[in-house]
Order: sequence, then structure tokens, then C-alpha cells
Amino acid sequence: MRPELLDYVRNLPSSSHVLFLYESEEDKRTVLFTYVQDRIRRGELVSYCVHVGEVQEIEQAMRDFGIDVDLGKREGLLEVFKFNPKIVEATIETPAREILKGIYEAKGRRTMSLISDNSLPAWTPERLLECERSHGRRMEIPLTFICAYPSNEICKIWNGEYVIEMLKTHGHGIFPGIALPLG
Amino acid sequence: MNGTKGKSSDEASELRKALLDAVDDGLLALGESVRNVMYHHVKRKRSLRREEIPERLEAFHEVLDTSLGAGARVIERLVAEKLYSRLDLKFVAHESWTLVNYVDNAKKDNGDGET
Repeated sequence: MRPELLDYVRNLPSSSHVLFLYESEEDKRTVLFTYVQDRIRRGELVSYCVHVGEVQEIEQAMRDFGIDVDLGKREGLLEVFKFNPKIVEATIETPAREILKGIYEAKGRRTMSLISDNSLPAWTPERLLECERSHGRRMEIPLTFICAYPSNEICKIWNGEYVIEMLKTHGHGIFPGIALPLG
Repeated sequence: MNGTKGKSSDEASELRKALLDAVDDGLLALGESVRNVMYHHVKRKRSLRREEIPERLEAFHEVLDTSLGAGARVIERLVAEKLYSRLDLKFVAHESWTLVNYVDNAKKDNGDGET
């Protein structure tokens, strides 16, 4: 992975709404764990939402990467949690933007990051797109939201047009060979 | 005269092929799946096939701009760098240039100003 790409990831400004399309599990972990490690070192809170696999599995992968998961958890800087499908229903009643505001408030209004290591089947494309749109290209609160999707899967939806819409809802894009501002 | 014309035609053909290859390489930074989507999207929005991009560069630029926003400039600069490298031209980045400007400049530097 290109060092410039990882530098871009480390230097993402607070409140970024980021679309990360990855082609391999290794690339996904390199990018996401680089970011997690950097933010913990800065003393910022990172919440990592696991859609596929188990929390313990991701935590072990983080340890193998060099992240001090136990220290991060002890100091209240890192939490890894399993995706709850009820969130999909919740977004029907409450805009996703408001849900994240609630999380930010509950965490004591600290600068934080939420990483959504997504699995598409949990959502209908329409609902997911509506949620992404509700955040805007830039988050209203000091919460950086990284939305990670498997590129080959998301590119199949709506004959490719879905990913074009996703590009229009985020402020930054991270791709296999480049990271760039969008919008 | 014919020799000059032949040379000019060869240069135009060389630039055309280099540009198509550079677009392929540049878009590949987005990943293979997204690159395929971009080609499909360009075709859908502007009836523009990959092979027609050199002749309709402005349309290609407009679709990139609409899809990628500020990122279009980054991708276009990447494409331009790859084009200049293929043509053995010195690449100099210009903040305000689009791919259209870079290709026009390459045509001049490549002695292919007529096409």
C-alpha cells in the first residue's frame, strides 16, 4: 500500500465523512488499523463497528497489527462492538445523522471516530444510501465517520450506479491506489 | 510532404494510444471494479465509449467532475502524469488545469498540434 495513501488516512480532518472501498481484507485492515492506531495515540476515542466476524477476531487482528488494544480499552479510547441490525430499523424513525449525534453526546462530546466495517446485506441499498446522505459530505459534529465497503460488491448494485451515488455523499474517498477529496 | 503527414499521423496515433492507456492506468487507482463502473457511467451519461475518450475529452472530464468532485482533478493529474511518462515528456503540475489542458499541452510538446 502506498505510503502517501496511509498519510492521507492519518491526516483526515475531524468531521470527515469517508468512503473507503477496499479490494482485499489485508488492505482493509491496513487502512483501518493505521487510522485506529493513529487516533488512539492522539488520545481520541475510536468506536469500531464489526459487521462480519466476531469482535474478538478483530481485536486479535488489531493486536497483530501492533495496536495496544487492552490499553486502549482500559483508557476508554477504543471500543470494538458488533453491529446490531436494529440500527437499520431505527434509521426509519430517526435520521442517521441524529443517531450519531446521540452517540457523540453519550460519549461526552469528545472528538471521536466511528468506523463502520460494513456488510451490505444488513441494509437495503436505498436505506443505506438515505443514511449516508443524511450525514452530508461533512459531519456536523466532531465525529469522523469511515464507511468501509467491499468494492466489488458495492459496484454490482444498480449496475454500478450505486457507487456513483455513494461517491456523491462522502467528503473523502479511499480507494485501493489513491485517497482523495470528493465534493 | 507525404513523409511529414505520415509522421504527424503516427504521432497522433501514438498520443491516442498513450492517452487511452493512461486513462486505464489512472482510473485503476480507484480499483478495478470502480474503474469498470466509471467507464460504464461515462457511456450511460454521455454515450461515450472508452475508445472515444481521446476525441471527446471534454465530455469525459465533465463526467469525472460530476462523479468525483474535487477528486476529479487528482485523478486527471494522475492520468496526465502517466500520459506524459508514456510520451517521454516532462510533466509539470498546474493547479487549474484539467485533463483537457494537459492533453492539449502534450499535443504541442509532442509535435502533434494539428489533431
